[in-house]
Formats: sequence, C-alpha cells, structure tokens
Amino acid sequence: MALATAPPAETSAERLPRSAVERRYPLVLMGCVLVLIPTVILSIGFGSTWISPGRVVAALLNPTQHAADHLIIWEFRFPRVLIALAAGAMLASAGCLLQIVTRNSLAEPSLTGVTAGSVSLIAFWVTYVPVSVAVDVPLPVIGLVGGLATVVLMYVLSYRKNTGADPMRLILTGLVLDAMFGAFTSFALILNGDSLATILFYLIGSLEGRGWADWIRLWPWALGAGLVALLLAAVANVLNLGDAVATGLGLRVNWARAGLLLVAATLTAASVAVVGGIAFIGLIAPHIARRLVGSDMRRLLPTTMLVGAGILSLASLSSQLVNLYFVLEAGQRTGGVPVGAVTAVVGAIFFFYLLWRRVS
Amino acid sequence: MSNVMGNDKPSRADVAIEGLAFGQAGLPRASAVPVEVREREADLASRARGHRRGRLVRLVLLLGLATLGVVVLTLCLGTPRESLSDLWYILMHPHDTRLDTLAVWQARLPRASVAVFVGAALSIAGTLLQIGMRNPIASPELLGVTNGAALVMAIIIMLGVPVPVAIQPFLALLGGITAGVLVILMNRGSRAPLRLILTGVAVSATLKAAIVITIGFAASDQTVSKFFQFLVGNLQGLTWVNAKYFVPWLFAGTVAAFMLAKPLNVLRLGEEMAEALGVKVIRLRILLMVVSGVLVAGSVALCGPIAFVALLAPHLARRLLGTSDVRELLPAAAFTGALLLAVADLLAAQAFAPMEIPAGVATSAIGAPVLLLMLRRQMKESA
Repeated sequence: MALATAPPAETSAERLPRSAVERRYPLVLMGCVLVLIPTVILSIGFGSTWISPGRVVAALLNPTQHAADHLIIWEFRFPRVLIALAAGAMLASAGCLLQIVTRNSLAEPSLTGVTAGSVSLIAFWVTYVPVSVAVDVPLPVIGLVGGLATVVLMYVLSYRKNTGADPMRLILTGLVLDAMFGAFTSFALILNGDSLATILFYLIGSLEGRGWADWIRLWPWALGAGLVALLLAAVANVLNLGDAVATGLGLRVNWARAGLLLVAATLTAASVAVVGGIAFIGLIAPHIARRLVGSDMRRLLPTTMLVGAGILSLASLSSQLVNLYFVLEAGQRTGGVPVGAVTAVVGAIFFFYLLWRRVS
Repeated sequence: MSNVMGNDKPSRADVAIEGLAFGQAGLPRASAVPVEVREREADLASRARGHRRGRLVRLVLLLGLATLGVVVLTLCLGTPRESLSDLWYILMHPHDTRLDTLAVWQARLPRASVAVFVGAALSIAGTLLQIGMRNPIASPELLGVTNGAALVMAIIIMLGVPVPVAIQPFLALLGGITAGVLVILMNRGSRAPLRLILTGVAVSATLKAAIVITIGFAASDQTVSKFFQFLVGNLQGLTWVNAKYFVPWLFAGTVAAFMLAKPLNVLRLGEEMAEALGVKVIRLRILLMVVSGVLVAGSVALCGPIAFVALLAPHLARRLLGTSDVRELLPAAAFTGALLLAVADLLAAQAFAPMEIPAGVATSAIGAPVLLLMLRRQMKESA
C-alpha cells in the first residue's frame, strides 16, 4: 500500500502481538549468526585450492600454527571475508537509516546517488591529487565528503520552505545525481587512461584482492559509525512517528535528520572506499529484517546489520563459485564476475518484487 | 507512497511532473456555442496555427544553422587543423589523397554526420515516449530500451559472437523492444508517472547487472576497455562503413514517428478521451515502443547508449516552441537533439585534446545539471 511515505507501517511482524516480536528477536539474531558461520567457512574454503571446512576451522582457531593452508587462509581469504561482513553490515544499516530519513522504503545509498557521489570524488582524488598529498588523507574521508555533498545537494534541490523535502522528489533527484556522478567518475578515469577493467570492477564493487591493509582502513569506521547508528536508533524511532509528533515529543526534527544522514553517509563512504560501489544491499537487508523483527529501530538496526553481512558474504560466495566453475574454467582471467554484479542482479530482482507486491 | 503505485490523488511531485510536459497543451473546448462564434474562433485558431508554423520554420532554420556551424568547427578542429578556405577546398575535392583530405572525409565527416543523425534519432524517440506515456521523464534509457539493446551488444562484443555488423542492429532492436514492452506491460492500468519510471529503473538495473556479468566473462582486458568506452556512448573512430548501416534505421524510424503524430496528439487529451475517440491506447504504446526501439537500437548498435539527449531535447524544443503539438514538436526536437549531440561530441573530442572523452560522458555531465535545474524550477512553479 504505502510505498514510500510510511515504509515500516504494515508488515506481517507488526500485526503480531508485541510480545511475540520481542520473543522472536533473540531467535532471529541467533538464526542470522547460524547462517553466517557456515557461509564464512565455505567462503574461506572455496578458491583455486579447496580447503575443507574442518581444516578451515582448525586454522582459524590456531592462528600461530604453521600448516600448509594457513598462509592462504590468514593472508588472503580471511581478511576478504571480514571485509565482506563489515561492508555488508555498513551498507545495510546506511540503507536502513536513509529509508527513515527520506520516509521512502526505496531509498538506498546507490539509488539516491550517495554511493555514486563517494565513488566520484574518490576517483578524482586518486587521479588528480599528487601522491604526496593524497597519502595523508584516508580515502574514506574523501568518500565521505563526496557522499555528504551529494546528500546535501539532493536535499537542497528537493527542499521547499513550508513542506520540507518531499520524498518523491528526493528519489527523482537522487536518480539524476546518480547518473551525473557516474559520468564524472568515467570522465576522471578515462582521462587518466587507467586500466579500465580494474576501474570498472571498482565502480561495480569487488572484493578481489582485498587484504589486511584494507581491513585496517575499514574497521575503525565500521565500529565507530556502526555504534553511533545503534545509539541513534531511539532517535530514529521518534522521527519515524512523523514530523509533527516528533516535534511534539521534543525532538529537533531537522537536526535529527541531519545527524542520521551524516551517519548513513559515513557508513556508505567508508565501505565504498574499500569495496567500491556495491549496490542494493541497503535495499534488500532492511526489508528482510523488517519482516523478521518489525519496525522498532532498536531491534531493526542490529538485525539489518547481520542480514546485510550475510547477504554480502553469500553474494561473495556465489561470485567465487561462478568464477571458479565457469569463468576460470574457460581459461579467461580478467578478474571474473565481481561480487557487485551478483548483488546488482539479486537487488534488481528484489526491487521488482517490491514494486510488484505494492501493485497487486 | 500510494500515489506512485496506484491511481490515488496525485502528490505534489506528480503534479509537478505532469506540469512539466502538459502545462501548455491547449485543449479543444466543447462546442455548445453559436455558429458565428465558432467560425470566428476557427478563424482565429487557423491564424494562430499559421503564426505557430512560422515560428517552427524560424526555429528549425536557426537550429539548423547552429548545427551547421558546429559541424564546420568539428571538421576544422583537430590535427591537422584546417582553415575555412582549406576546408572548402577539401570538401570540393573529395578524391585527393592528401592527409588533410583523408582526415576530413574519412574521419571527421562521418563522425560529425553520425553525431547529427543519432542526436536527431534519439530525440525523436524521446519525444514519442514522453508524449505517448504522458510522462515527461520517460526516455529510452529510463524505460530499459537502451539497456536492453546494450545488453545484446555486450553479449556480441564480449563473448565474441560471430554476428555480421549489418545484423547487429536487428538483435539490439529485439533486446531493446523486449525490455521496453516489459516495462509497459508491468505498468498496465497505472497512470502515476513515477511508477513507470521506477519500473523502468528496475528493469534497467537488472539489465545493467546482466551487462556487468557479461563483462566478467570477457576474453581479455582489451575487450573490457573497448566495451567500457562503448558502454558510456562513444563516437570515436566511426567510419562511413559503420555509418551507412544506420541510414535505413533512421529513415524508417523517422517516417513511422511522423505517421504516429496524429494519434499521439489525440492521446495528449488523456487516455479515456483517446479511447473514446477510437485510439487503442495500449496498442499505440506498444507501437511507439517499437518505433522508438528502431531509432534507439540503430544508434546503440552504432555508438552505444548516449544518455540524456532523448530526455532533454524534447523539453528544450517544447520550451523554444511553446507548444506540445506533436507534428511541430517532432521536427523541432530532432533539430535540437542534433545540435545537442553535435556540441557534446565537439566538446568531448576537443575540450581535453589530445585526450578524448566519450560523447556519452559529455552529454551526462551537461544534461544532468540541466535536468536538475528544470526539475527544481518546475517544483517551484507548482508550489
């Protein structure tokens, strides 16, 4: 019924008595973790050398031991999986926050131009700023500036004095901004004459070749912004009641919205700086989570994070499988199908499903 | 957001969007008036039409001259650079074997003419879709047509499928039309403009993802680079050999578009009204999709998806012309689009010489801000 104005209103979970949702919540969290563990183990196991789950667990539990597959697991595959988990959780919670702020259940970092803005500024920074300056500033900061600039632009362009920002205009503006920043990114990269294949994989989002160095760049942001998001969950709940009620309850609505947007942009930018513009996680994860635990942000946000981590690691696992059995098999080595392509396909189909369900 | 999905009362955004396109449409009035009044009105109307026709001719002449100027610049600039008198000499002596002559005749002229004709074809397609869907932001790229065609081309290029060049546009057409018709059918019965766009975005996103997956299977990095250039829309390196395959597509599409002008004018009155006047709306829309598919598929097969021309040119033309009468809008939009793409390609080729950027990047970089400003202004007016 309501596609954008009141996203979390009517879900199946909401209609259950309150206590049932609450009782279900720990079970849901446990279920998510139970799905995550085998995904992680399998995703470490798969690769050009197959490592059985037993050996993976053994290697993970004894980091100091020096068995044959320790190097592969600890140097290459484990950081990659960690990054997938963190980036998934970050993108998912960013989507969740954006949906609250824009009052639009289709809002998502990649659909509203935030991802494209981050990628675009990072591309310009990497291409045009001299290396001596560039090394001193962490890439997530640059991405954050780009993402925030996009959010502000989006807001300014769709804001009107007495009524505030109309959710529909917000989405429309986001679409156009997305196209524009996409063009800017291509522009920077083409002028630079980089290896286009590498760049393309960055634009789409890929976990290929990510290691501990990337993890070190990612985790402080994931931890910091993630915690802030969880702390702001109660504020988001109040905002969710509508501007009038929220103001009546003493919330400074515009400040709350700006703060949540800042957190969402930070989460997006930091993950984009490491894994590239992976799309649609922020759309899928909150919807699934809302189905499971209802729309109270204090429960919704942690669940969303777990679901997002699960989705990205599952997508990573399936892209590994496709590459292993189809792409490399054919003797072609251009990096194969990046994980961003998998999430794009799944996400686009999910987007369809959302549209379809609202009609019928 | 019920109004996006169903037929509830429109939101401000919807109204604003409707206003973007249909604000100026002059609707005929009911004829319960005395005969002499009606005659006088008819006389006034015909005089007004004559006046408008004059404006169309002036506008087309002006746009044509501007396009010619840009084309001349395109022919002169680059290495080797020609003066106007040199250019005249070269154009008069096409069979010289000097480097300058070859550069102008074999590289710059085909490229400039492709820019002009692809620009025209895209804007005709955009006009048809905008009027036909009664949606001012309908355009081939938003309705999935462009990406459908691009996916087919991606499969051909990336997987090295042995398909003759002349057949490629047909396959691209198939992909484009399938995607477009899918979007229309998914929207049957819904009139909210944004819903159509959202479905189109979903279809486009799916197709884009499929394109990316195809890239994953590419044979080498070089194919990927080549395809990336193609994917953003590029006129670099076109020759007469490529260009000549495009001519029948442009011709067929344009003729068909003008033949559809009358039912389209009826459709402007609204769907119920059009049905009552004997226009089969769904059938007309599918036909529209096929015609714009022909125009888009031809140009995508030639130079890849070029963004924003199809979206912007009809709007600019409507503003310049002051009417949405399809018979006048089509030629005006075609000339506007030709000028737009010619300018964009000139910029793409010369602004960062000796580096070149793809024309599609230039059209997006120019087109997106213009569109944003237009949306913004429209919102203000509708407030």
